Amino acid sequence: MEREVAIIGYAQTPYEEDADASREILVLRAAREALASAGLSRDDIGTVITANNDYLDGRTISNMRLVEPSGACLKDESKVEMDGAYAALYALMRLLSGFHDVAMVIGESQASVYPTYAPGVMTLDPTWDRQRGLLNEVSAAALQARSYMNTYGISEEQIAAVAAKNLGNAVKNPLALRAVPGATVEQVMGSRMLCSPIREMCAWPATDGACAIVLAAGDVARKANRAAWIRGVGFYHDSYLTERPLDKMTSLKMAADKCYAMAGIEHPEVEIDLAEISELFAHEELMAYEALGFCAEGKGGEFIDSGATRMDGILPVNPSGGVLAANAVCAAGLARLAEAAMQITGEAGDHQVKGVKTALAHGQTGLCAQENIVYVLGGE
Amino acid sequence: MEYKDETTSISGSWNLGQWHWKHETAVLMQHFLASLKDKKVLGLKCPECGLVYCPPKPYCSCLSIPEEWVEISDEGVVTTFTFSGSWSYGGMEEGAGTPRIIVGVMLDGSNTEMLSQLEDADRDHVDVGMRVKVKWADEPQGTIEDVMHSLPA
Ligand SMILES: [Zn+2]
Repeated sequence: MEREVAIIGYAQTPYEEDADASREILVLRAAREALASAGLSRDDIGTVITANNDYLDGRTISNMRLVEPSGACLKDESKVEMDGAYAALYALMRLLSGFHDVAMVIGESQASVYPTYAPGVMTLDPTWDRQRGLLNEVSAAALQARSYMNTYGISEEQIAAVAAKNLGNAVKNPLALRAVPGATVEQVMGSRMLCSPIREMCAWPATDGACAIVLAAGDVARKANRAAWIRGVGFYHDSYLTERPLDKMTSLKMAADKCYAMAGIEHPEVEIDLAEISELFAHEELMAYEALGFCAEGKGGEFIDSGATRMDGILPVNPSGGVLAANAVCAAGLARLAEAAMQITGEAGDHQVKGVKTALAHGQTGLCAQENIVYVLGGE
Repeated sequence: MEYKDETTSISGSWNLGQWHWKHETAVLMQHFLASLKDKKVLGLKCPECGLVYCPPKPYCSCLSIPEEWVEISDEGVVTTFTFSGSWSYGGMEEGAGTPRIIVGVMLDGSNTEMLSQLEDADRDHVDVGMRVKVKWADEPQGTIEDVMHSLPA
């Protein structure tokens, strides 16, 4: 990149089922804490990009009351109506333009004030699938999971192993909403079936929360308290879910390839020390292993069985607990970015993995991961 | 949080049925649905890449305009499936009736999937690759309902 850009501050609110605060206050808390961690004040911020969603908030212009709590008043401000990892992309581009040195990026949502799984139906084609009543957030994921399992011979136990790993990891993340001490495959297999093969413990939990990161370019970044440098980014969008094969994540693979080329990564399975993946449903983490090149196509099940992605494995994935442990919609992918940065700077606390020099973060938007974005971060 | 239930509401409702979608699909859909009365399933073929869309769609990912109607089969192959029972999760309530078998079906001659509800099938025999066919009413009405259900072929 022409200009080097780094994550120099971050904060996440605790993820909760029913936060004791409005969304504005959650945003304010995250923004203040992220700025403090960066050692900056509001005056230093050049641009603010938020990620929030009109139909989740039940009103249009969902950022209109976030101007003050995000620190954006009388500043360059915009939003994306997608995952926060895309807000970070927008902020990155603003910094690369050379017109700003510091960007605040915030994602948030409050599942406790709306039926959080219901809006998925609103993303369906209104002239056909929405009227037919067969697809929703869970049944669509179930069709994706079955398609993947069938093509590559993946078992339900291998999918359950993802949930057991991540919910177990979440015990060491004090901010996680859903943590299950000593979670086992048997326990996950015993959890309630929603739409086969999707079980409750394999589906993201309704979550309140916010995440903020501070991006900086040039001298500000070099003089910062800490820096996790953005080495590469890639993002691709796939077609509507009935018009593409659901057994693989093509757009994620393309995004990863683009990101790796930018970051100079040739052997991701060796060069990447840790990954934070947006697995809205457990099987998506296995599919992501393949798309990200951590293992060969169809080998996601064997890869989890090998223990490689455990906290003590060769390529830990989601030591934070991932999205299965907390999914504040619009903040989830941004939180992956924050978590990856925390691992690089050595500030991940109890879920810190030793010696992380290169980390990957993934965000997604749309039913069955229609669009995907991948970042690679590096230390000094 | 206690006070969220005390939010003042403005009475009224957000009736999504009042929303309309103005695009070519409506015209295409009329033709598609009319042919269902004759138990014929039509697809729309892209002149550039050859993809056949069923239901029809006026734009293709290759940036061309599908416009050639082709008759496709009312039989096809199951590409994926799920058993959806009765559950509530994340604020959603589903399946207040009998459990459903939802299948993704690639009708012979189509390149896109049509979801349908499979009936008269033994769960143990439902699998990817299974052949199914549209369950026609004796007198199809020319509506979306006509191709909602399928049967083992
Ligand atoms: Zn085409």
